[in-house]
Amino acid sequence: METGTFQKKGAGTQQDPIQPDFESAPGGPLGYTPVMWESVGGETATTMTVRYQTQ
Amino acid sequence: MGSGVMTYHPLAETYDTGEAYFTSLGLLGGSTGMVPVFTNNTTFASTPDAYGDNLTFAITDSVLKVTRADTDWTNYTWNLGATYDKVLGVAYFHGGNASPRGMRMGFDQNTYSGSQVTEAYTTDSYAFGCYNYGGNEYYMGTRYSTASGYLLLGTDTSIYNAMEETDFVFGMATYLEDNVQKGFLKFGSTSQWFQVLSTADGDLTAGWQSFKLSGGFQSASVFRQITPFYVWGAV
Repeated sequence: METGTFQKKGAGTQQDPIQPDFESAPGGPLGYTPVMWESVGGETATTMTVRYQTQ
Repeated sequence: MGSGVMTYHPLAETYDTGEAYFTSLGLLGGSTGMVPVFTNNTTFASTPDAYGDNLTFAITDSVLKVTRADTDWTNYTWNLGATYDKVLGVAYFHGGNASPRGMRMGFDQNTYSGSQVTEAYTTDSYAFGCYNYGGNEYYMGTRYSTASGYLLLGTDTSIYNAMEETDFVFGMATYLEDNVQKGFLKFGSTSQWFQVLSTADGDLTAGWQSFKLSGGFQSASVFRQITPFYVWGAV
Protein backbone atom coordinates (compact mmCIF):
# COMPACT_ATOMS: atom_id res chain seq x y z
CA MET A 1 0.00 0.00 0.00
CA GLU A 2 1.19 3.49 -0.80
CA THR A 3 -0.23 6.93 -0.11
CA GLY A 4 -0.55 9.64 -2.70
CA THR A 5 -2.36 12.89 -3.44
CA PHE A 6 -4.35 13.14 -6.65
CA GLN A 7 -6.50 15.68 -8.40
CA LYS A 8 -10.24 15.12 -8.16
CA LYS A 9 -12.32 14.24 -11.19
CA GLY A 10 -16.02 13.58 -11.78
CA ALA A 11 -19.28 15.48 -12.09
CA GLY A 12 -20.47 14.70 -8.57
CA THR A 13 -23.41 12.57 -9.67
CA GLN A 14 -24.01 8.97 -8.60
CA GLN A 15 -23.13 7.82 -12.11
CA ASP A 16 -20.02 10.00 -12.25
CA PRO A 17 -18.96 10.62 -8.65
CA ILE A 18 -16.04 12.77 -7.61
CA GLN A 19 -13.01 10.55 -7.06
CA PRO A 20 -9.23 10.67 -7.36
CA ASP A 21 -7.77 10.94 -10.84
CA PHE A 22 -4.96 8.43 -10.76
CA GLU A 23 -3.58 9.90 -13.96
CA SER A 24 -2.81 13.15 -12.11
CA ALA A 25 -0.18 12.05 -9.58
CA PRO A 26 2.55 14.67 -8.98
CA GLY A 27 5.16 12.20 -10.17
CA GLY A 28 3.17 11.36 -13.29
CA PRO A 29 0.25 9.06 -14.08
CA LEU A 30 0.08 5.78 -12.17
CA GLY A 31 -0.71 4.03 -15.41
CA TYR A 32 -3.38 1.93 -13.74
CA THR A 33 -6.43 2.26 -11.52
CA PRO A 34 -5.77 0.66 -8.13
CA VAL A 35 -7.90 -2.36 -7.28
CA MET A 36 -8.44 -0.88 -3.84
CA TRP A 37 -8.04 2.65 -2.47
CA GLU A 38 -9.42 4.60 0.48
CA SER A 39 -9.28 8.23 1.58
CA VAL A 40 -6.92 9.06 4.42
CA GLY A 41 -7.99 12.66 4.91
CA GLY A 42 -6.41 15.92 3.87
CA GLU A 43 -9.03 16.52 1.20
CA THR A 44 -8.99 19.93 -0.42
CA ALA A 45 -11.30 21.53 -2.96
CA THR A 46 -9.23 20.05 -5.77
CA THR A 47 -7.28 17.10 -4.36
CA MET A 48 -7.72 13.90 -2.37
CA THR A 49 -5.09 11.96 -0.47
CA VAL A 50 -5.62 8.21 -0.59
CA ARG A 51 -3.98 4.98 0.47
CA TYR A 52 -3.95 2.62 -2.50
CA GLN A 53 -2.96 -0.87 -3.41
CA THR A 54 -0.05 -0.87 -5.82
CA GLN A 55 -0.05 -3.01 -8.92
CA MET B 1 -30.70 -24.62 -0.34
CA GLY B 2 -31.37 -24.77 -4.01
CA SER B 3 -33.47 -21.67 -4.03
CA GLY B 4 -32.47 -18.11 -3.31
CA VAL B 5 -35.77 -17.61 -1.57
CA MET B 6 -34.84 -20.20 1.02
CA THR B 7 -31.42 -18.83 1.82
CA TYR B 8 -32.56 -16.12 4.17
CA HIS B 9 -34.16 -18.37 6.74
CA PRO B 10 -30.97 -19.80 8.29
CA LEU B 11 -29.39 -16.37 8.58
CA ALA B 12 -32.46 -15.04 10.28
CA GLU B 13 -32.00 -17.71 12.93
CA THR B 14 -28.34 -17.13 13.68
CA TYR B 15 -28.91 -13.74 15.27
CA ASP B 16 -25.51 -12.81 13.98
CA THR B 17 -25.26 -9.19 14.92
CA GLY B 18 -21.47 -9.31 14.77
CA GLU B 19 -21.35 -7.84 18.26
CA ALA B 20 -18.39 -9.97 19.34
CA TYR B 21 -16.42 -9.04 16.23
CA PHE B 22 -17.10 -5.33 16.49
CA THR B 23 -16.29 -5.43 20.20
CA SER B 24 -12.96 -7.09 19.37
CA LEU B 25 -12.18 -4.13 17.09
CA GLY B 26 -12.93 -1.68 19.88
CA LEU B 27 -15.99 -0.25 18.14
CA LEU B 28 -18.42 -1.54 20.77
CA GLY B 29 -18.15 -2.12 24.51
CA GLY B 30 -15.52 -0.82 26.89
CA SER B 31 -15.35 2.93 26.99
CA THR B 32 -16.94 3.45 23.57
CA GLY B 33 -20.22 4.57 25.07
CA MET B 34 -22.06 2.69 22.33
CA VAL B 35 -25.55 1.53 23.33
CA PRO B 36 -28.19 -0.37 21.33
CA VAL B 37 -30.53 1.89 19.34
CA PHE B 38 -32.29 -0.73 17.18
CA THR B 39 -32.40 -4.39 18.16
CA ASN B 40 -34.48 -6.13 15.51
CA ASN B 41 -33.44 -9.69 16.22
CA THR B 42 -35.99 -12.23 15.04
CA THR B 43 -38.62 -9.79 13.80
CA PHE B 44 -38.77 -6.28 12.40
CA ALA B 45 -40.30 -3.88 14.91
CA SER B 46 -41.70 -1.51 12.31
CA THR B 47 -41.67 -0.46 8.71
CA PRO B 48 -39.41 2.52 7.87
CA ASP B 49 -40.23 6.04 9.02
CA ALA B 50 -39.59 7.45 5.55
CA TYR B 51 -39.19 6.13 2.03
CA GLY B 52 -38.73 7.07 -1.61
CA ASP B 53 -41.69 7.22 -3.95
CA ASN B 54 -43.51 4.18 -5.30
CA LEU B 55 -42.40 1.94 -2.45
CA THR B 56 -44.38 -0.57 -0.43
CA PHE B 57 -43.26 -2.66 2.54
CA ALA B 58 -44.42 -5.92 4.05
CA ILE B 59 -43.06 -7.44 7.25
CA THR B 60 -43.26 -11.18 7.78
CA ASP B 61 -41.38 -11.94 10.99
CA SER B 62 -37.68 -11.71 10.07
CA VAL B 63 -38.22 -10.40 6.55
CA LEU B 64 -38.91 -6.87 5.34
CA LYS B 65 -40.06 -7.20 1.75
CA VAL B 66 -39.45 -4.03 -0.26
CA THR B 67 -41.29 -3.47 -3.54
CA ARG B 68 -40.63 -0.63 -5.91
CA ALA B 69 -43.05 -0.04 -8.77
CA ASP B 70 -40.58 1.72 -11.04
CA THR B 71 -36.89 2.02 -11.82
CA ASP B 72 -34.00 3.41 -9.82
CA TRP B 73 -32.97 3.61 -6.20
CA THR B 74 -35.17 2.34 -3.40
CA ASN B 75 -34.31 4.35 -0.31
CA TYR B 76 -35.84 4.05 3.12
CA THR B 77 -34.93 5.28 6.58
CA TRP B 78 -35.56 4.82 10.24
CA ASN B 79 -34.99 7.82 12.50
CA LEU B 80 -32.65 7.11 15.40
CA GLY B 81 -34.57 9.23 17.91
CA ALA B 82 -31.48 11.23 18.88
CA THR B 83 -28.33 12.72 17.36
CA TYR B 84 -25.32 10.44 17.67
CA ASP B 85 -21.60 11.19 17.40
CA LYS B 86 -20.76 7.53 16.73
CA VAL B 87 -22.93 4.92 15.04
CA LEU B 88 -22.67 1.32 13.90
CA GLY B 89 -25.34 -0.37 11.79
CA VAL B 90 -25.68 -4.02 10.79
CA ALA B 91 -28.14 -5.23 8.15
CA TYR B 92 -28.63 -8.22 5.86
CA PHE B 93 -29.93 -8.06 2.30
CA HIS B 94 -31.36 -10.52 -0.17
CA GLY B 95 -30.97 -9.39 -3.78
CA GLY B 96 -33.70 -8.25 -6.13
CA ASN B 97 -35.59 -9.68 -9.06
CA ALA B 98 -34.35 -7.05 -11.51
CA SER B 99 -30.87 -6.20 -12.79
CA PRO B 100 -29.14 -4.52 -9.85
CA ARG B 101 -27.31 -1.21 -9.75
CA GLY B 102 -26.33 -1.63 -6.14
CA MET B 103 -27.27 -2.11 -2.52
CA ARG B 104 -26.00 0.13 0.23
CA MET B 105 -26.54 1.28 3.78
CA GLY B 106 -25.53 4.30 5.77
CA PHE B 107 -26.48 7.16 8.05
CA ASP B 108 -27.94 10.61 7.42
CA GLN B 109 -27.65 13.81 9.39
CA ASN B 110 -31.36 14.53 9.01
CA THR B 111 -34.61 12.96 10.12
CA TYR B 112 -37.36 12.10 7.66
CA SER B 113 -41.02 11.20 7.74
CA GLY B 114 -43.31 9.73 5.11
CA SER B 115 -42.82 9.90 1.35
CA GLN B 116 -39.62 11.58 0.21
CA VAL B 117 -39.19 12.43 -3.45
CA THR B 118 -36.24 14.83 -3.46
CA GLU B 119 -32.90 14.04 -5.02
CA ALA B 120 -31.25 14.93 -1.71
CA TYR B 121 -33.09 12.10 0.01
CA THR B 122 -31.52 9.69 -2.46
CA THR B 123 -27.98 10.91 -2.10
CA ASP B 124 -27.63 12.68 1.24
CA SER B 125 -25.99 9.94 3.25
CA TYR B 126 -22.71 8.48 4.37
CA ALA B 127 -23.11 5.17 2.63
CA PHE B 128 -21.31 1.89 2.18
CA GLY B 129 -22.39 -0.66 -0.39
CA CYS B 130 -22.05 -2.48 -3.65
CA TYR B 131 -22.32 -0.76 -7.03
CA ASN B 132 -22.09 -1.80 -10.66
CA TYR B 133 -22.46 1.46 -12.53
CA GLY B 134 -20.80 1.46 -15.93
CA GLY B 135 -19.92 -2.20 -15.71
CA ASN B 136 -17.66 -1.59 -12.73
CA GLU B 137 -18.31 -3.76 -9.73
CA TYR B 138 -17.09 -2.68 -6.35
CA TYR B 139 -17.81 -1.82 -2.78
CA MET B 140 -17.18 1.69 -1.64
CA GLY B 141 -17.69 4.30 1.00
CA THR B 142 -19.44 7.41 -0.23
CA ARG B 143 -20.98 10.54 1.06
CA TYR B 144 -22.91 13.45 -0.35
CA SER B 145 -21.83 17.01 0.06
CA THR B 146 -24.00 19.86 -1.10
CA ALA B 147 -20.88 21.77 -2.07
CA SER B 148 -19.07 19.05 -3.95
CA GLY B 149 -21.68 16.50 -4.93
CA TYR B 150 -21.36 12.74 -4.69
CA LEU B 151 -17.90 11.76 -3.55
CA LEU B 152 -16.21 8.38 -3.37
CA LEU B 153 -14.15 7.83 -0.24
CA GLY B 154 -12.87 4.43 -1.33
CA THR B 155 -13.44 1.50 -3.62
CA ASP B 156 -12.42 -2.13 -3.80
CA THR B 157 -12.98 -3.78 -7.16
CA SER B 158 -11.69 -7.15 -5.95
CA ILE B 159 -14.89 -7.98 -4.10
CA TYR B 160 -18.46 -7.99 -5.25
CA ASN B 161 -21.65 -9.98 -5.15
CA ALA B 162 -24.23 -10.02 -7.88
CA MET B 163 -27.26 -9.06 -5.74
CA GLU B 164 -29.63 -11.11 -7.87
CA GLU B 165 -32.65 -12.88 -6.41
CA THR B 166 -30.87 -16.22 -6.78
CA ASP B 167 -27.78 -15.03 -4.89
CA PHE B 168 -27.07 -15.48 -1.22
CA VAL B 169 -28.08 -13.22 1.60
CA PHE B 170 -25.19 -11.00 2.61
CA GLY B 171 -24.51 -8.83 5.60
CA MET B 172 -23.26 -5.26 5.52
CA ALA B 173 -22.17 -3.06 8.38
CA THR B 174 -20.87 0.48 8.55
CA TYR B 175 -19.34 2.43 11.39
CA LEU B 176 -19.08 6.21 11.54
CA GLU B 177 -17.45 8.67 13.84
CA ASP B 178 -15.96 12.11 13.26
CA ASN B 179 -13.60 11.81 10.27
CA VAL B 180 -13.89 8.01 10.11
CA GLN B 181 -16.03 5.60 8.11
CA LYS B 182 -15.56 1.83 7.99
CA GLY B 183 -17.37 -0.78 5.92
CA PHE B 184 -17.72 -4.50 6.65
CA LEU B 185 -19.21 -7.53 4.91
CA LYS B 186 -20.35 -11.00 5.81
CA PHE B 187 -21.05 -13.61 3.15
CA GLY B 188 -23.07 -16.59 4.32
CA SER B 189 -24.22 -17.84 7.68
CA THR B 190 -20.89 -19.39 8.67
CA SER B 191 -18.50 -16.72 7.40
CA GLN B 192 -16.84 -14.14 9.58
CA TRP B 193 -17.33 -10.42 9.32
CA PHE B 194 -14.42 -8.71 7.61
CA GLN B 195 -13.45 -5.13 6.94
CA VAL B 196 -13.49 -3.94 3.34
CA LEU B 197 -12.77 -0.23 3.60
CA SER B 198 -11.65 2.18 6.29
CA THR B 199 -11.56 5.84 5.35
CA ALA B 200 -10.48 8.93 7.22
CA ASP B 201 -11.91 12.09 5.82
CA GLY B 202 -12.20 15.54 7.31
CA ASP B 203 -15.60 15.99 5.74
CA LEU B 204 -17.11 13.14 7.75
CA THR B 205 -18.77 15.23 10.44
CA ALA B 206 -20.51 13.59 13.37
CA GLY B 207 -24.21 14.11 14.07
CA TRP B 208 -26.16 11.19 12.64
CA GLN B 209 -29.93 11.07 13.07
CA SER B 210 -31.27 8.36 10.75
CA PHE B 211 -30.29 5.04 9.26
CA LYS B 212 -30.81 4.61 5.51
CA LEU B 213 -30.92 1.50 3.35
CA SER B 214 -31.00 1.50 -0.42
CA GLY B 215 -31.37 -0.89 -3.30
CA GLY B 216 -30.95 0.19 -6.89
CA PHE B 217 -32.41 -1.77 -9.79
CA GLN B 218 -32.85 -1.12 -13.48
CA SER B 219 -36.54 -1.92 -13.49
CA ALA B 220 -39.37 -2.47 -11.03
CA SER B 221 -38.00 -4.65 -8.28
CA VAL B 222 -38.55 -6.62 -5.13
CA PHE B 223 -35.78 -7.21 -2.62
CA ARG B 224 -35.63 -8.13 1.03
CA GLN B 225 -33.93 -7.01 4.19
CA ILE B 226 -33.49 -9.78 6.73
CA THR B 227 -32.97 -9.62 10.49
CA PRO B 228 -30.88 -9.16 12.50
CA PHE B 229 -30.99 -5.42 11.98
CA TYR B 230 -29.05 -3.63 14.68
CA VAL B 231 -27.86 -0.09 15.26
CA TRP B 232 -25.67 1.07 18.10
CA GLY B 233 -24.90 4.69 18.86
CA ALA B 234 -23.05 7.00 21.25
CA VAL B 235 -24.07 10.60 21.86
